[in-house]
Amino acid sequence: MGQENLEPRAFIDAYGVDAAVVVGSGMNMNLGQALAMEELFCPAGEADRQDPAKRLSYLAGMLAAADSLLPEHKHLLGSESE
Amino acid sequence: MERVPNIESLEQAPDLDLDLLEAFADREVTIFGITGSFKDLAGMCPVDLSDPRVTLEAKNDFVVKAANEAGLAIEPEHEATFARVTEKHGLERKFTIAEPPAPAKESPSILSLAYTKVKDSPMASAKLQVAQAVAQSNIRDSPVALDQQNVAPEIILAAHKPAEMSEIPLPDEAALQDTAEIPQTALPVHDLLERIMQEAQVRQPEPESAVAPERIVESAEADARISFDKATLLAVAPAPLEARLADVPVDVTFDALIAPLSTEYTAEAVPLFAESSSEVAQVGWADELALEPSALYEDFAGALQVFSELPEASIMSGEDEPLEGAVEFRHDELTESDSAPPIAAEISAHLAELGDEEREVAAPILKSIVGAVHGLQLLEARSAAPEVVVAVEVQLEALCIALFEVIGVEPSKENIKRFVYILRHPKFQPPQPEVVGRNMVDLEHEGTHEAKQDFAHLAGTISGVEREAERLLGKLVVFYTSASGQYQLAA
Repeated sequence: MGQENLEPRAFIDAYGVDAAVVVGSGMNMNLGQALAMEELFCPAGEADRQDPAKRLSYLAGMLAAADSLLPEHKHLLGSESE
Repeated sequence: MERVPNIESLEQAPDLDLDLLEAFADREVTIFGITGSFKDLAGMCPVDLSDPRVTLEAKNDFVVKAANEAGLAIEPEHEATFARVTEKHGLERKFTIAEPPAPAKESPSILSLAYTKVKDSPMASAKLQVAQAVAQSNIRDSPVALDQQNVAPEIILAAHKPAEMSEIPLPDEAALQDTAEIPQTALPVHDLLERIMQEAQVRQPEPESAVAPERIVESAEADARISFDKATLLAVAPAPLEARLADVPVDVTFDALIAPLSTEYTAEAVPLFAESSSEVAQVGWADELALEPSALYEDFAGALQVFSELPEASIMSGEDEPLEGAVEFRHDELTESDSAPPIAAEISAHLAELGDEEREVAAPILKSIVGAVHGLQLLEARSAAPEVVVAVEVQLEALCIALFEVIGVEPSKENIKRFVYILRHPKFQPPQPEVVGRNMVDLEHEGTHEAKQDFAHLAGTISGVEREAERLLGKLVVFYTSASGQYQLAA
């Protein structure tokens, strides 16, 4: 699946809310908890959350830190939209 | 649903200079099962909050939303900010205001109450926390054991904290005492009965005397209410088996569960054992109650094993052993039991098969059962009021139901009735040294043959044979046996 066709929601659904992640602070949790926590932030940079590529990169980074990222999604790491 | 923040409204906020993330950086909070400081939680933000492009308002919004979600107790000076942010985002107000003189405390929400920090597995810890919270709510919401309508006098006891709560590290016990109603559970039944007996100064039964129920009630009124329900059982049950106990329906009131059994005990049943109660009370389970539950468990199982080796028909008819073949049932309710496995053997088998963890759960229940049985013996010996006896019988039945649930036996009315019948049987005794007669014969040295020559043991007392006719019959059998032995020897 190409990056341009992958939606963040589909990406999340593919892993499920129980997938292990490591967030920026180094805390271990599952993807569901991380997404719930993310809802609390809603920073002024709203566009960061809406940009699919950046979002995918963010999600992939959390999963990769917990060794949960699938090999076919590793290309999402560090990718940002211009 | 969160509304998109209005930048203009944010710029009009009065306290934009206040950096709540800095003020709350080290405050610990639990959100969505995740426990950590605000500083740690802020690290979860997809945007680097240290980036100057991230507005202070955005960071404050995060702190407020996180604190609100966790039900945090905040200082009064932050109330305005918190109220504004929660209102802006359309959130339900969950945060509380801490008392000014006291240090800031965390408002004990259901997730933050009394639990340890997340270590390795947040979800596993969150699940454990939820399970413990459910157990806590079960303890708080469980029905009161005794129905006042069934029991005239209320037996009241002092209360104490459940053991499992004392093992949980509490972040702030003072806060818990203020906001969480820690349930008071009852002392075990044997402690209850011992206190009653001590206060009533139970003596040997007198023919014309009877313990006034009012006296017993008055002496116990100063203490808390007994609540012998699932709360007590949960308090002694280790966590892994809580689910089994939790399966006992909580919506069934205690009286609905127990009353039908209790009302079937008639006055005829009690006097069946009354004549032997005084003797049994002295040599029965009193000493066993001083043992550890694990030791009592073994003795209980051993005592039950004795019963399991006897035909149930002989037990239920009131006879100790069938002198000649089977004995007819005298209890009409048990006529259908010929093909059913004897309850004593069934329970004995289950007790023998229990694993260590299950034994740890069952042992305290057995001790409480023994306490209730012993108490009933004392009450009957003292000719206590029927209402008091019924009250303890109700508790005994509840304990039996709990035991059946733990060991995996169906707690049907029939099984409970049978089991209680066995428990109250005079022959249901703990293993004890043989009671020998006053004219003790040194059989180890003399041998039974020599002893029989003098009929020495005929003069002794055979323990456990309460009925004079049986004792006489026994002596006649011994006499015959001895006499025939002498005749054969002479021949």
